[in-house]
Amino acid sequence: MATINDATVSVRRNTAAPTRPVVIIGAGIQGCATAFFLSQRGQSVIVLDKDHVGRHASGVNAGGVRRLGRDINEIPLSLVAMDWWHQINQLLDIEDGFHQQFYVKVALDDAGANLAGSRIQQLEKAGFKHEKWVEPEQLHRRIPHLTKSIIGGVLVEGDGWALPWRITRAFYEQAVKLGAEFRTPVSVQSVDYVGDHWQVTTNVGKLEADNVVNCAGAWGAQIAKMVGDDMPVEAHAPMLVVTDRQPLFLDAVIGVMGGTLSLKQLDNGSMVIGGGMRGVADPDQNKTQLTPVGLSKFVMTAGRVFSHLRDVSILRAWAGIEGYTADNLPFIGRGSQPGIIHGFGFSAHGFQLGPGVGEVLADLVMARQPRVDISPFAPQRFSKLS
Amino acid sequence: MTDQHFQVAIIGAGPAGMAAACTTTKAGLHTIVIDDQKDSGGQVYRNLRANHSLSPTYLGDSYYAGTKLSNDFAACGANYWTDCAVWQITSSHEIALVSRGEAKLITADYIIIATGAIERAMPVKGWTLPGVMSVGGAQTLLKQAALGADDAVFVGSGPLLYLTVWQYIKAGLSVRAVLDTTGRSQWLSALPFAPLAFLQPDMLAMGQKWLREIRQKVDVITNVEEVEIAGRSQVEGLSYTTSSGERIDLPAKHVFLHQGVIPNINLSMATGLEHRWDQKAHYWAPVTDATGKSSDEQIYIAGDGSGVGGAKAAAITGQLSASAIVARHGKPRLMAQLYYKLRHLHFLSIRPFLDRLYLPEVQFRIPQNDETIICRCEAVTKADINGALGSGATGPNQLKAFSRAGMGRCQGRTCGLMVQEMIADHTGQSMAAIGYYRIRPPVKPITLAELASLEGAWPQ
Ligand SMILES: Cc1cc2nc3c(=O)[nH]c(=O)nc-3n(C[C@H](O)[C@H](O)[C@H](O)COP(=O)(O)OP(=O)(O)OC[C@H]3O[C@@H](n4cnc5c(N)ncnc54)[C@H](O)[C@@H]3O)c2cc1C
Repeated sequence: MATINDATVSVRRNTAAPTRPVVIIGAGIQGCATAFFLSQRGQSVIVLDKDHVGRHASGVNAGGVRRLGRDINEIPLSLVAMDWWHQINQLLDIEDGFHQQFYVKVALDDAGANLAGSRIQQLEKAGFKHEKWVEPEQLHRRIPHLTKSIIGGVLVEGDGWALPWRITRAFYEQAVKLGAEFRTPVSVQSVDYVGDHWQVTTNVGKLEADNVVNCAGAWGAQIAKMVGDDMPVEAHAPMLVVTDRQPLFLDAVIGVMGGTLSLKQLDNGSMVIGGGMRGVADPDQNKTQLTPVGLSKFVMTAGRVFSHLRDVSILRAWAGIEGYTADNLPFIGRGSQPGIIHGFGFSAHGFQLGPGVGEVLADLVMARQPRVDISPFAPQRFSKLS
Repeated sequence: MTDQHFQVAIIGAGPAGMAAACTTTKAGLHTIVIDDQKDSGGQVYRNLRANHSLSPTYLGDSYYAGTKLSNDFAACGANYWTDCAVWQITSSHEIALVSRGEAKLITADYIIIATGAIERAMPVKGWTLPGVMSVGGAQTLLKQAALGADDAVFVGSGPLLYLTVWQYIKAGLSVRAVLDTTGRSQWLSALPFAPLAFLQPDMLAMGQKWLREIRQKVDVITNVEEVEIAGRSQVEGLSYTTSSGERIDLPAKHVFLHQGVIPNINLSMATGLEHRWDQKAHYWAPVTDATGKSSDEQIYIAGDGSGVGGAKAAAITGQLSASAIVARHGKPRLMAQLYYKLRHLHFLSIRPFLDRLYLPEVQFRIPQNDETIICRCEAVTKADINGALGSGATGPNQLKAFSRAGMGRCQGRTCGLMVQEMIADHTGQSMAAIGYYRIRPPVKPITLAELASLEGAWPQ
């Protein structure tokens, strides 16, 4: 297998070729999807990851694929991504890649119902009709085990879930088939502009590139800093639990209005339960710590929705390291210097966006106008200079 | 949030935990002992106090040797919570436990993890069939419920195998055969350590006594090189091959397997403590200093959980850790630490010999057939693991995602070392470099309602 040093040589030999390969930093879903779309469009791509494909947020997240409850600014991108999700099997040559169900945030009480009402109004004003109020009778008919006191909810048809590691891996595999090259574990240490191109220095050698895409997740701010961009993210560790197998009873993903919960049942009967609570993230050490009280909070919320699950055992709890921005919207866009493109800081809801982000970042690399307005995600929006 | 605070929390009430508690309470430290069993004793002295009033002689002197320690512990004045399982220790030394349907958090200045050893898996063909059990499991039934099975075949290696066979025949049960898989090469590599073992003549003598009495009643076949258990929905028999190459079939309804024990590291791993690969003993053990102090200054590991040394050594390492904690509390040391260290070494001296002698041959560590199951919880076969290796998994945690091995209820307790060794074989890397599964809380089973009880009552 070629080492990175060999590759540096071969890239130089290729100087007759019109462009240097695009270098993508980070092999999470955003890096892999971007590599996929670029390769599909005939670009040559090298993806670097300090660990391995899908090692972080993209491999261990809750797998929720939802348009429901998104920030209005994020909805157009989420809709584009959803188009891809609905054809993910053909796109990635897999089976059952996306479990298309419905996603509902239930209202536990009047406060929840009021929130739901104003949310739906707000969306309608902005021209979005995908979130709909569902009456309690209908909800209880569709989800028979639901606690009787639930008084309705906001629902999106066609949302669902996917196995995160599998999808990230599938983007990687297809990208490789189309010619993309992945090098792991390779850690980027600096990115410098030399003459007329970027030089990416790693722990095992240097690479040259015209375009560098920063998909480094919770570590994205570090990469941004290397190219002179001040894009703060905080690393946190949202937590999940998975339960023992139960008879299949649920073909929807459940959240709560005004609270945090995500609950789904996998094909093997296990349930994955999460919801906002964070453990302790140590991004430098690749480590996370779970907080028992935090776990108990969202598990209790699960109990409010499905009290029949009381004696179900927990198999395992875990957390993933994710980058959060101050407004919980990602950074997607061009850096302050030419050839730098950022896509990170997805604030715990970037899995669903993945295919859309891949398309948009590929557009930016190829100097095309993306299908959606990405101005709310501007990399410069918090920078001290602007 | 925290319900109670203690100066010392000891997890596990086997010999190490009991001895530690006797030491810390004597020094006046506010001590709690937590154990998920109904009574103290751990694996080795399980149910001893109840059995003592009945005194079944078949359990033997080595079992009743725990009487004094059990009684001392019962009288030592430590808080003692039975039926109580620790499922997480946080970096701020909160101990999360669950007992009788409720979760609880306590804190402690010092923690001694004394959670003992588990049996190494012996994944021969058919090892997951109903009717196959580990020798440790069979012994537990005998101690706890006076239950046994006639005509069982015992297969494997190590002192616990022979002790249990001996207890079986003393209890009046018939044993069809003992198939000893200790290989010739194991004897050869163990030999240089034999002189050390003679420092402990009593242990060797005990082994000789068991063996003599067993041989009078049971066929003991040595140098067994291959074993396959046969049966459709349960065990019907087994076949084995000896060094002479002869293949022999035996009918059997019960087969008990044993290949020695390894430290139970799930709690220490989930706590994020440093571990080291012990190449000679072929297992992971927490990194500790001579007093059992782990990579976390506040946490000690005592007993088999820090490296397998047996019951007597466990009690001494428990005292050693406890004495170190007492010293750090500024209390005068009860007894000179050196004294403990010396005895500690003395008791561990037979281990290098036994480690080499009883490290199982590769065919008893890794399945030889593609269709043999490696991960019982998720029914992952050897072929599945090979498939995952073929598609590019390079470490245990990646392999988990590819194959689901280690994703079940036991969190890889059974399959962890097998999977690790298969990766090492495939990639040519050392076992130490491959590493182990990332172990996550809860390390003991807990239900949703139990976990939620930290917040309040489960909704009706
Ligand atoms: C527990 C949890 C649950 C979640 N649930 C959902 C959900 O239900 N639905 C949803 O839509 N989203 C969810 N998310 C969010 C989603 O997982 C993330 O937004 C998404 O995976 C982010 O992808 P990424 O590629 O940006 O980041 P990552 O997957 O973290 O990838 C970044 C990669 O960059 C690499 N890297 C960093 N620095 C360097 C360097 N210097 N050199 C080389 N490589 C480097 C890292 O090793 C890493 O592999 C959840 C997240 C978590 C943690």
